[in-house]
Amino acid sequence: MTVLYRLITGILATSVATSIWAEELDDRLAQAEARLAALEAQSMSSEKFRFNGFITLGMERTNTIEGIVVDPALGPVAGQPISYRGSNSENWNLREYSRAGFRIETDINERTGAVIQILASGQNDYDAELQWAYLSYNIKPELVWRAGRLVLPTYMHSQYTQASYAYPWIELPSQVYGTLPVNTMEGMDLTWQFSTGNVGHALNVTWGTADVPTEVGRYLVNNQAGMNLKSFFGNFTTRISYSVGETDLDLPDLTALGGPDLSPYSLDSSFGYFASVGGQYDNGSVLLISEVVQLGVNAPYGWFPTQTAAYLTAGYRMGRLMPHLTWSGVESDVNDRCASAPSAVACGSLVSQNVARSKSWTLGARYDLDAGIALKAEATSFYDFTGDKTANGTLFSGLPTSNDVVVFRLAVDAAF
Amino acid sequence: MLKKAAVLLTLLMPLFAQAELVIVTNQDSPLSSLNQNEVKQLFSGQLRSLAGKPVQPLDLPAKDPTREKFYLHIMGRTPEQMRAYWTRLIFTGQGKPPREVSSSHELKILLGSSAEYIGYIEEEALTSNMRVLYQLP
Repeated sequence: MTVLYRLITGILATSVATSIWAEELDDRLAQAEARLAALEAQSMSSEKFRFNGFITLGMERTNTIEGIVVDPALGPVAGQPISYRGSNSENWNLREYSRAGFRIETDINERTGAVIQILASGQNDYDAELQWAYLSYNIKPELVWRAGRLVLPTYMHSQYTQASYAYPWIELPSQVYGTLPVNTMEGMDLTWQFSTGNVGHALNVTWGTADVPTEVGRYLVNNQAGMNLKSFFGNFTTRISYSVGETDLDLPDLTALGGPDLSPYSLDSSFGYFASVGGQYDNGSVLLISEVVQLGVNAPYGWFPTQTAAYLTAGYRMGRLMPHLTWSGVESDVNDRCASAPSAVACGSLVSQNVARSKSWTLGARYDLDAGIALKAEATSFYDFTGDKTANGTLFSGLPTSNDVVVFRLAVDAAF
Repeated sequence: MLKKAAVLLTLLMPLFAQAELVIVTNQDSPLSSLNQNEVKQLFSGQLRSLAGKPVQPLDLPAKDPTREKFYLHIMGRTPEQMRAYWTRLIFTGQGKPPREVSSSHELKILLGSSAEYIGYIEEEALTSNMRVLYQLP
């Protein structure tokens, strides 16, 4: 009897519990469906805003380098310690290559987008600067017009020089990438993607105004117009680019301060050009990159020597590790027109500030820790600073005279 | 040389053993087929429209083995190499990587929702509303 009673109450309890459980399940299912709908809506909106960023921590030091430094009062003094981009043999310089950037991209409507990209670099005391800020409009899916603040597409790697995760080196070949400071312009560009047979192309034309501060003065480049054509064929990429501009540069009269009068050498809508040819081969394991560039400015009395620079990089990927070797060099074409200048000395000082000559070998390696993060190390040995008419340390604080001029760098790069 | 070939063969073995990969789109798409070069250009952002119509490639989640297989096979690139490649395009505003779906389930839903989408799946996962545009050799 008690057994039967227990059995009945047991069955009753179970069926009540089952029906309660079923109701609960319905509720939970409804809740899950609502959550799923919300998530789906969220994934749609996450497509509307895209965030990307990059971070680099880089460090650099040199071996002990001696050389000639020009003292304003004493003239050239030999046997002085020489630094490279502010790095010396005493300490690791953690500022020069360290930086962070952040990019926000949104679609205003189906055809229009807006982009803001902010950069804070150690070189610039981490003051945040607006690198890119533009609106883009898709005239057709393959034809895009952009207007605003854009980074000039001077070199093959120009537009992403700060996102160092994108390339194998820590420092881009300095003789080439130091020729013309990479800069932003206010203006517009038009990019057309098309293909001829199996070859894909991207033709880009730019127009705008660039403001380039240098140690000589502030260059203002008006009507900066350029075009570049990138072509892709299998593992090959080629790039040609040519741009012209009208350059203004005000140089001061320093006679009141006991210096020279530099005003006759000012640039007033002077014609300048920049040409570059580059190529890349990447089959997944072998990487070859090369660029040749030339910069010319029609300056009074020819005080701006035409600079020609080139590099060739070869790398070989073995899984996550890629050792690479780079040769890079720059040479300036110094003319004799300073002789006819009002002051050959003043003209000569401008030439010496703008002349560039050096060569280097860089041996480096990149190790991909995981997708989005890479470790890098490299050593650059500089040589040949003196030619028939030129003697210049380019990025060094003086003219190195030591036999071994070596710069070491380490970095960790991330892109996200 | 022989050793290298043997190593390569061992590396590629799993690819042969598994099901073939196919490039698919919606059954309503005006496209009938793609060649290998078009597939490469599409998934590296160099091709934004086909036959005058905009196209949108879809990527499986980052660690999905089908995705790794696809890029290794069609582009000869590892996930790290593709990441560096896209870094170049993203920060120059020249392109954005394929939209990344959360699962192959979402891929199928998206493919069914619009003829603009193009994705890669294992041949055995094909459904009736998909059209095969390319079969990986």
